[in-house]
Amino acid sequence: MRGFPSDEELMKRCKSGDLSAFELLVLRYKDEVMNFIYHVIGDYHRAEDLCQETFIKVFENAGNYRPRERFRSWLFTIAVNLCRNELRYRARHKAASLEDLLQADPLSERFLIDRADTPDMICEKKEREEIVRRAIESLPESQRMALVLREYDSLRYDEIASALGCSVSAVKSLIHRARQNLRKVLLKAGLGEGYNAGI
Amino acid sequence: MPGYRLKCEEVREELSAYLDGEVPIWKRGLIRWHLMRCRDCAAEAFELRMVSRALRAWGDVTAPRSVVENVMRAVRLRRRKMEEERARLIARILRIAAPVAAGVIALLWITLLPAFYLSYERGKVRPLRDELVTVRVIPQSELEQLVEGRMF
Ligand SMILES: [Zn+2]
Repeated sequence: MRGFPSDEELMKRCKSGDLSAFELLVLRYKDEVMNFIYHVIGDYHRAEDLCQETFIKVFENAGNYRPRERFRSWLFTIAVNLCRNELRYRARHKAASLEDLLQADPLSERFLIDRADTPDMICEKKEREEIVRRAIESLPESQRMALVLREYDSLRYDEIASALGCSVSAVKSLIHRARQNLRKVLLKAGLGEGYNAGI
Repeated sequence: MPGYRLKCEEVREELSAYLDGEVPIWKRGLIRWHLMRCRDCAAEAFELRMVSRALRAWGDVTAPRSVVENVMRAVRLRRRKMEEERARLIARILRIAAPVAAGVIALLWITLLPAFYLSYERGKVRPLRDELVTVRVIPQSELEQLVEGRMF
């Protein structure tokens, strides 16, 4: 497979100082990492910074990477840690501004109170997106990360466990609880109706 | 496991994993069998699937090309800094090590030079060791035989 080197092979080349191998890894994973961070923190521009930071940390810590580990899980471990730091930083600084935010954004207020609106009234794409965004934001940190890794990055449970540093059964429980929490919020908000799903 | 049935609670615990395809095949069959017969669990599975679909309302994003450019720029800069640091460290070591090495060489030179000189001088005047020469007196008769060539 000369034309398609594996991640592990690229990391080995990267360790020996091959920057083109590293660039290939960045190109390969930038969208997945960006998608994860964006859906966890909900801020595109900050996600861009953290995405960059993730790859810089990958380069700096290339020496600590063991080829037996799957690169994708290792990469997401770094992204998860950066997101954790960001969420904790935001939690410390957000407490005061939450009130202002709710007052400034009528949609969020509408979302937090008992919803009588139907999707017909808020069927604009942006509004639906906002509902989902706020629903995910309302989840506890670990549930949010596990769910985003599954729903938006399609990671397997074992990969999520490795990225979050917990067991597969813990991941199973986190994702299940996250979906149950969202079920209450999203279905109440009218999202999910009109879909035709078979089991 | 023929005849084995899962209880509703057991099925519900596994529903998310079931929808994600993260349940072993043997259990998958049991859950599917249960869902075909249990209206409540089937409704819950349906709702969980709805949640996953509803989440698609918040679409995927991609990282702009500038992310790659910025990362590569930062990494090149870091590598240059690391190389400069290494060079600085080597220079510092040399700055300390060079005088020390010169001192050691000078010391060795000073202490060993007389010894070398002396051993050289001693070697030059040393008399040759007398060779041990054994002299055998050849008797007259033997000498005659030798002359006649009888012994060869
Ligand atoms: Zn049931």
